[in-house]
Amino acid sequence: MKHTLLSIFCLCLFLASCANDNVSPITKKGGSVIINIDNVIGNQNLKYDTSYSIASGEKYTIKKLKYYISNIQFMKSDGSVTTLQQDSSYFLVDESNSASMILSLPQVEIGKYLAIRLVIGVDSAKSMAPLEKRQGVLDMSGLGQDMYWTWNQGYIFFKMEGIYTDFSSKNDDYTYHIGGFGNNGSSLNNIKVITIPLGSTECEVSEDKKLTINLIADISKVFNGKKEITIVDHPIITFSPFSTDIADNYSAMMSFSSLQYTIK
Amino acid sequence: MRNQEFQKTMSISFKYVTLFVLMIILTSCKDISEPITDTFPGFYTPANFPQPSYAFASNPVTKDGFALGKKLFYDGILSRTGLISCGTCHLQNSSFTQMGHAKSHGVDDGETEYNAPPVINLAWNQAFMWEGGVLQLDDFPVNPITSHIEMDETLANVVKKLAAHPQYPSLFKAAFGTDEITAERMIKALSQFQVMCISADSKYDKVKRSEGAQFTSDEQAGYTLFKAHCASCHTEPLFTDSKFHNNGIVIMDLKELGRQNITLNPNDAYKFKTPSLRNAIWTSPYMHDGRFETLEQVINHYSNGIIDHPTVDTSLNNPIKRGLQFSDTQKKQLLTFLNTLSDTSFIRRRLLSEF
Repeated sequence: MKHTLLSIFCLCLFLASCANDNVSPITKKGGSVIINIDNVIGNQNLKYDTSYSIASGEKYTIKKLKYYISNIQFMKSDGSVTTLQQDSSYFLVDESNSASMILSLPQVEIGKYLAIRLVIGVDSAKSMAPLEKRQGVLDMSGLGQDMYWTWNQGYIFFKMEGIYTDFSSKNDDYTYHIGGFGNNGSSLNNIKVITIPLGSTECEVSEDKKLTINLIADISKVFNGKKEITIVDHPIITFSPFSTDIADNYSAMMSFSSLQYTIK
Repeated sequence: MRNQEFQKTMSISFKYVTLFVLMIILTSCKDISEPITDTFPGFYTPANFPQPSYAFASNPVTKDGFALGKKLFYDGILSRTGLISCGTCHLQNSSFTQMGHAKSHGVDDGETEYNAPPVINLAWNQAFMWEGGVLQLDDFPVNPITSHIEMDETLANVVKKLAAHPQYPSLFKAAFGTDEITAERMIKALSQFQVMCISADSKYDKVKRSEGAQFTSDEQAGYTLFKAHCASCHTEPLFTDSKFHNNGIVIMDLKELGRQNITLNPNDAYKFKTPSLRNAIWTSPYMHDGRFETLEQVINHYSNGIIDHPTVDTSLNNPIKRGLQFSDTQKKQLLTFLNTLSDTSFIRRRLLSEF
């Protein structure tokens, strides 16, 4: 008997000592939520290789557009916040892959919500996390391959490339690779936490209905969301102080469009 | 009677179960410094070293993981051309640098940006590369592998090539339990090899650990000078503070901003990571661009070659006395001391050698 107890004790010790650091199971009931993101330019649908104008008088086309959405939270009218399971809350929106614009969220606690809060980019803890914690869209050998700076460790939060036409009708490439998580020697921090109100009434997450939230991302805001940009001044923006202007601008790009409920 | 015997048998089997479970506990949470087998030492912390900073919890060093890492380190399969391995520019006989090369050559003979730093005591390293843009060892290998100048490959393609290789799948299985090949496993195996490049058996170490060695009077005089003038950046026992300094060398290329590229702070212009002085007699040429070929030139630089620039370290750029202004005797004593940092057993260690 003594030995049985000792064995059990040892087993417990073993299990406890090597416990997985999985997040605690969802204790409250959850519902399915999907976020659809529609990239647009003003009131037009965004299309690659199509010429758009900006206030500076320049024109631009888009050849590549990718950005990270992460750390999604739901906010209630009483100010409380429901945070989704963090490891399942990283998405890479890629204009060339329509499936990437449908964000299938982990279970959201049932309840009524007024707004969502999300990060455009990747938080600093994840940027410095060990390799095994950076999988899926964060895998630098896979989906995240061209969204990661190797020489200056960290993710490219927002990547947009194309051709612009300046005032003298000269065409050239522009490249915006925006990153910087503020914790790697530099204080440059382009992590953008944004809050998007979900219309005039609360939305409801329930067990028997699937909620679809349609959001719009107006990519033209990259050039005028807060400050008007003249492309020819800085056609190549990567890890530099100018990147904060671009990040400030695109932090204004997301807005609510509509809700849908589907009976399961 | 039968019942008693049965109880006895049961009691013995419980003893074994307990013992077995205890063994699992001990092995599952094994101290990283504990030897794994008689021949493979496993990772260890030399008695005069601090605790390592590498995250062993998520990548414990095993004999098979190390063996896989070693094979990968010396295999050109990591490069686009199949010709450039880690070992091409990090040779054991020069403390895993490339002796005689200010810059190294990658695929298609491209020239690297900086002098190849040594692969030595990396489990204690706090920042990687001359500018310190990489924070952890596991995030380093993607740099040379994907650099267009060095290996010009993608991690995904390396994984593909390894999976199609006749030997690697079984080596991954031995190291990680299954033959699944991922970039994460490949990098972790490389790290297991790299953290095993422990150099801590120089005369200096033997003196510090009181293993019977003693400094000569010249070595001791050099050590005293070193502690007074050099140790603030080349901090013992790793002989680097893992920080970034402008050491007053002539600025050859105004655009070569060093640490400022990472911090964007103009106060960090022309600063580079302090290299370790361990095995310095074998790591020529010196500085981030390999401009000095001999240690005499290096000491002469610190003595009276320091330029006046706002970001030069204040320890070298005193308004009254620029440079350390050593006498000829002091220079010789310093050199004599630097020689005590040479670890012959490290550059000859069979465990780490390519062939």
